[in-house]
Amino acid sequence: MLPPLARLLLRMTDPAVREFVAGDLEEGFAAIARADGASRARRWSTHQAFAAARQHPWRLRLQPRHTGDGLMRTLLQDLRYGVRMVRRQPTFSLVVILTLALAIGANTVIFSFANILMVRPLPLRDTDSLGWVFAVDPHMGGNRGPLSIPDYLDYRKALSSFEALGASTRASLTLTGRGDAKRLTASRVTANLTDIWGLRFELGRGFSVGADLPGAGGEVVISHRYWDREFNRDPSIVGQSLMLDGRPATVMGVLDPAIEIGNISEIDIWIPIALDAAAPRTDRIMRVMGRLKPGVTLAQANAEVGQVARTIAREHAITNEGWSARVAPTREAMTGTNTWVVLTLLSLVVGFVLLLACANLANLVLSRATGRRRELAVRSALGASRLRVVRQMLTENVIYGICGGALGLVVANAGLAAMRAAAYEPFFAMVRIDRNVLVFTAALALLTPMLFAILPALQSTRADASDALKDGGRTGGGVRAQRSRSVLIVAQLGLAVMLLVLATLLVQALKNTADAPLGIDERRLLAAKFDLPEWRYTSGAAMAAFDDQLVARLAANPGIEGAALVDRLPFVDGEPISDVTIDGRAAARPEDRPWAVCSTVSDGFFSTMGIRTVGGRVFQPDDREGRASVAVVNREMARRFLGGPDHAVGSRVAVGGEPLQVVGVVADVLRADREAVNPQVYLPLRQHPVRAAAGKASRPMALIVRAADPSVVAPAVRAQMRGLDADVPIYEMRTYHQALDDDLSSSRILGSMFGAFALLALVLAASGLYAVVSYAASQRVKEFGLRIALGAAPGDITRMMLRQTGTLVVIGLVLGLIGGRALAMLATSLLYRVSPSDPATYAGVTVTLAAIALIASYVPVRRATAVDPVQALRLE
Amino acid sequence: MAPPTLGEFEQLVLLALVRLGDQAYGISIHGELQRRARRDVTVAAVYKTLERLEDKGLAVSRVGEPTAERGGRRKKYFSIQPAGRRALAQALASLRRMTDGLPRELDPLAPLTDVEP
Repeated sequence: MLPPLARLLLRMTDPAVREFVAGDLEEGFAAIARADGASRARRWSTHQAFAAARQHPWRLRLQPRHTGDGLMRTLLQDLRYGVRMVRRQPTFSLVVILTLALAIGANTVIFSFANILMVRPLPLRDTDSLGWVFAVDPHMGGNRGPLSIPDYLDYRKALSSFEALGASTRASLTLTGRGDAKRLTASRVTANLTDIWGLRFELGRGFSVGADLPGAGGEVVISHRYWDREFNRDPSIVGQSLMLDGRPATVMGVLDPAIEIGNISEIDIWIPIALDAAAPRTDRIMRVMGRLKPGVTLAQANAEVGQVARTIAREHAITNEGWSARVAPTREAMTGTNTWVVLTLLSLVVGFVLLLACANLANLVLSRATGRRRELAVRSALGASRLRVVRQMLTENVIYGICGGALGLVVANAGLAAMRAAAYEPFFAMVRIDRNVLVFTAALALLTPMLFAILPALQSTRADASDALKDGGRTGGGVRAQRSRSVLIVAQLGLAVMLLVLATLLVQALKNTADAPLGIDERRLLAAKFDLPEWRYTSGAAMAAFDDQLVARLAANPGIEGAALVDRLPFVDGEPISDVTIDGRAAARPEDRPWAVCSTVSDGFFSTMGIRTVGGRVFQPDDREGRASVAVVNREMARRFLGGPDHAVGSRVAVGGEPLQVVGVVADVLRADREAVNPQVYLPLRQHPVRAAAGKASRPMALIVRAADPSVVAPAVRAQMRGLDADVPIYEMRTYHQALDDDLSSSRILGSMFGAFALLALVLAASGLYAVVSYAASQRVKEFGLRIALGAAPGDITRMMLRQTGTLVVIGLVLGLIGGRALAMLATSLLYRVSPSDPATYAGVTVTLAAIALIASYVPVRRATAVDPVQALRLE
Repeated sequence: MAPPTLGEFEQLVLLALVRLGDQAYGISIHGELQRRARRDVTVAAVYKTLERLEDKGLAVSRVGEPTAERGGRRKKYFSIQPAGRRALAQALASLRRMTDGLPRELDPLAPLTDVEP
């Protein structure tokens, strides 16, 4: 039996000889297989079949035999001719290929993102029947919030539309007994989660049933990445015991690496959560999802969840009043809100860039095609059909597409590599060129030439051969060609303006974010985190003693000017909100209740961070357990809830039911998103040493150190920590500046992407305009000569030409400004302290584009009008 | 009318037709060329030449019966026409004339004519 490739090739062979050749090959195959073995026979027959397909190509018998118009042959012929054309005009080819490479590269980069977020199948089982239950927050307006443990338990009991309801929450664990203490990122999950998600295992299995019940033995599952990193892929890990938070836990299995998408890839270890029904309902920490019963739709589940939410809100009015919940599908649940905005915008932008490039290339090809009209006319006069000529021209441009696509891949790869290097978030590490992306780029490389070449090809072959063959016939193309060029130019300018507007606004927003006065002095600060294990430091007093010793040891180091502890690094960590009561008054409506972000800080915090004292005093060593509970508030808290900074000192507030006396007011620190300032209550760490633990097995805490050169003291900080207790893991050590920088890295990448795309668009539009104007001018040189000979000044002609292009520029500009505003409205959520209709931006873009358009049209017009009229008239 | 001149490969294919008689078809001709003329050509090239010979009226083809060893496909038998014989004879004669009197090592036909060592 002939090998499949040979059979395929034979199918492409002329049916007139196919049967006989096939029969011959079958005989030959059998003979060679007998004599020399099957593999040789296979090679021989494939080779033979290839020759048959080449020498007897299957052709459509529209033309008489032997004129040699077999499909294969024409294609090869066209390709050969195309390659010759490409090489004959190196500059033109280079421009086309580079333009395509940049445009296709930009699209490839953006598709690589979309690929991960939307195209690649999620590594979960049957995502259509998964429903994600989100809390809808009446105060902050979010609708993607987590639920509390008791809420989750209530839903699990009440919901009938789910087969199973699972939940997960992030936590950190300390691993000891394997060298230095290490901090692991953990996902605490209900035991049914592996089943609901349909997680697969590289090794071992998931949790036992009931592993999340109180008193169950410690079981863990580890991620593939962690297995690789920590255990060097040792298969004997399953069944081994790890010391986590001071307790032994058995490794049940190693997860399949496919699940490591997005921030799930940060998880080192999966551990069952002990569901505590008595946990406060305000601790909303659980991500809840479930598998719908067969036949139940998301809408039905959503309705039921809403109903249960109302019941819970009624029964637990203090904590849940106003709170609701909803069910979201998987794709939405697993992609952040802003991600959609960003991806849509980026896709639009790169789509525009591609269109721009196409418009440019269409113009170029059109100009060249008009130049080649005589050649085309000769070909059709010699009997080439229009279809044949169009096909030839398309083939030529497909060569450009392929070269541009290949180079575009290189561009995209370099861009992605630069992005990975600049990014802090692990998400970017996943954005790579995979098979999906390759297919996308290949499709783009083949389709783009169709987009920009079909119109010019059709247009330039429409001409009457005899007309074009006449020597001296005007080759400028008809009114129609002129008009389509004008439309292209307007479109190009419009798109470029749109992108410029958006990019300018985004870059401004980024600059505003980076320049916003934060309220802290972040230079010369080193920050790090450590987890104090509660199984070792069992009392508040023990923790307070550790804290005091640590601060004292750090401060004693040469080069360290100040050290402090805080449970939440401003700008880096989350900002959990607590309800606050003021002077014992209860607010009538939940939305009127005072609230604040609470932080526990050591004495030196304000001076180390550079936060000014506005009134009263900050914490002192005397504010310890047993003394009156005190608090410091920020100016915003005082202004909003305490009758102003001057009246705040001395007022009484209560956080979490504990009454506190306000002793001081400090300056404001911006919220992490830098949009506004949160009301803030600071508590002395010495009076609340355990507060940050909040039921966790380890108390997370951040330390900050002020030093002349913060990076130099890092080893000293580590050494001091090790000297104090080697089992306390210290992590995320970096200068504060670096931390803030890392925090902004994603926005910066986004900003540079938009900036680069807009710049690309501007260059494309300018070069397009230049090409069109210089072409139009060169077509009219004779006319100019005549006008000058009749007495017109070169300046008159220049003005006339500029007036004509000026109209196009103005139309493009106006359309672009309108479109740009629409785009900016879409991006409002990304525009920090910039109005989407910021007049300066629109004015700036207008001036920039007008200037560039003027240069792009003045230069070629000037050149055309500079010719000697006598010579111009002789051009005949 | 004088018979058309033959290309070298055409000569070889015609000779193969003569040698094979009524058993001349694609793969057998291909085998004959390979064994005797040491020509490693493709079956497709053989067909190409046969097509040309047929167009010139030097050979003729007929379609045979399907056989199992060919996967149920039919054979296309070729045979030489009188015009082909004439053209071949002429070609060989001119070749002979051209080799006449050449030093023996240059005479490709010497092994055929030399009877004595």
